[in-house]
Amino acid sequence: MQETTRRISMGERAEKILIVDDAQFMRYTIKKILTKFGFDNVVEADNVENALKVYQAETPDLVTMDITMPGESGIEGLKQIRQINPQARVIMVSAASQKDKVIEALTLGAKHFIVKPFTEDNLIATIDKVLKM
Amino acid sequence: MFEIKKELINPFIEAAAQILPQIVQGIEFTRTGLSLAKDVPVSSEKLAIIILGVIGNVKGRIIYSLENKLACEVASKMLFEPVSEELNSLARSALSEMTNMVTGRAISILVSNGYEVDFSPPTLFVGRDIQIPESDIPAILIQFSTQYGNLHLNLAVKEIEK
Repeated sequence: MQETTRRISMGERAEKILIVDDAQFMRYTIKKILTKFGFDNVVEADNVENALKVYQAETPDLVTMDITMPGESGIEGLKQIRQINPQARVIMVSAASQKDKVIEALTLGAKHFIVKPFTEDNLIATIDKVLKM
Repeated sequence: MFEIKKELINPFIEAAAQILPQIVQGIEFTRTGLSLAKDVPVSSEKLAIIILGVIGNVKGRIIYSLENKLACEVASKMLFEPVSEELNSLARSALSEMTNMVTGRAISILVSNGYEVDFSPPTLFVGRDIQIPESDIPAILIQFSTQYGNLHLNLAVKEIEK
């Protein structure tokens, strides 16, 4: 198990991932999990405005987007990223209480969603599934 | 006389029982008290206090109060690394996220029970002698004990008549 972790943490995954979340803890946690599973190409934004700038500059392969953020919500962020790239792969990160917003996001083109608290395996499995879309 | 509805209180107890063991493994939370909170006591002990608002057809506020040693342990378990007593910004963010997850689950239970309700983002304070303005809504104090200290949920919510 340790060997597997060491091997995949050497940067096997070339896909670039953008984490959008206002909570420092969530950005830190998601990045830590991604790095552990070999995703070394990770960029971050703490709000929608910054996310759009980073998206255009970095053209990530996948975005994890928190739904509730100060200023524009993750739903707005999803809409604007899909305007820039209609094929954008966006995974919504939601609280347990946000079922309606998740449905709205899926209708607007989000590829998947993940509910907090999530496990490492749950996050990575969802990302892998969406990267294959 | 004002009646505190158990349908509004129980989801928070249920949510804490569901979520806390998932996100802070190794800390045993045992509910040791449930009482009417006549006021919000000022403690000389260092505390981490997190306040969230409840909005919709149930309104009010929730205060999570953690003794500092427990706050450090919770943040440390969430981050999988040691956390100093000063609780840096990452540790504070972890504590806020814990309250987001517990409150989110409670709100989700309320919504599935037919309430139209949401909550506002958490605000966190750390220190001694923190004074919280009293709510005009009668509050319930729920105490959880752990091996690292106590967690109090001070819950002041009421249903808004249509």
